[in-house]
Amino acid sequence: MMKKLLPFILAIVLWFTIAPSANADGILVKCKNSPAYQERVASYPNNYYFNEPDRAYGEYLTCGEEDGLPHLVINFQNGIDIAIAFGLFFYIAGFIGWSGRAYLQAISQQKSQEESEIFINLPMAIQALTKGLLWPLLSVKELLSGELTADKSEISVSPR
Amino acid sequence: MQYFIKYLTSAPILATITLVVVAAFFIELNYLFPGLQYGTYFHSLP
Repeated sequence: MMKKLLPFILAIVLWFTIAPSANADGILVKCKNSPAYQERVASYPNNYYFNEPDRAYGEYLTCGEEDGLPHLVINFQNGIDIAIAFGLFFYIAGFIGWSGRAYLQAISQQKSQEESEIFINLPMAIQALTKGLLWPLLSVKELLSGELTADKSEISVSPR
Repeated sequence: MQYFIKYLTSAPILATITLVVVAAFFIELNYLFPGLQYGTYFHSLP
């Protein structure tokens, strides 16, 4: 009973002690309006790789008025920015995984499977990469047809 | 010649070539769309 209650108590304590300090109103300002941020930026080297992010941060990000460091408030608009980056990452990670899997499956039909793992068979690899581009569709298709997952009978279970 | 081409298709060589191509792509991207990595793509700078 106590074991189950403890996380809830901890969550409530954390909520009331830490969460209010993350509240944006009155604490965060636009970065270009924060004197501490201006001071920090003034000491940066004057070149593209410092100026460009300074402009972007100053215009779009909120900074602590006193510390002058960018702080991100999690709201819906920022949520979209995060979702785009995460979506790109997820798609690229899936692309890499799916094309590798497709290539291994394709060469497993061949006689010289081991050789094709060391010396890449380019026509097959390009085919696998093309399949990888469509991985979100193919994964749904394979999940529905049962190719993606193993049968229950194939999963070994230790005796209990 | 055919041995040389086969050597070029070996996994480590292809991995290196791919890495160089991807790096060149991102470096060029920075010239085509400056500031892309600073979150200025969806909100263009004033």
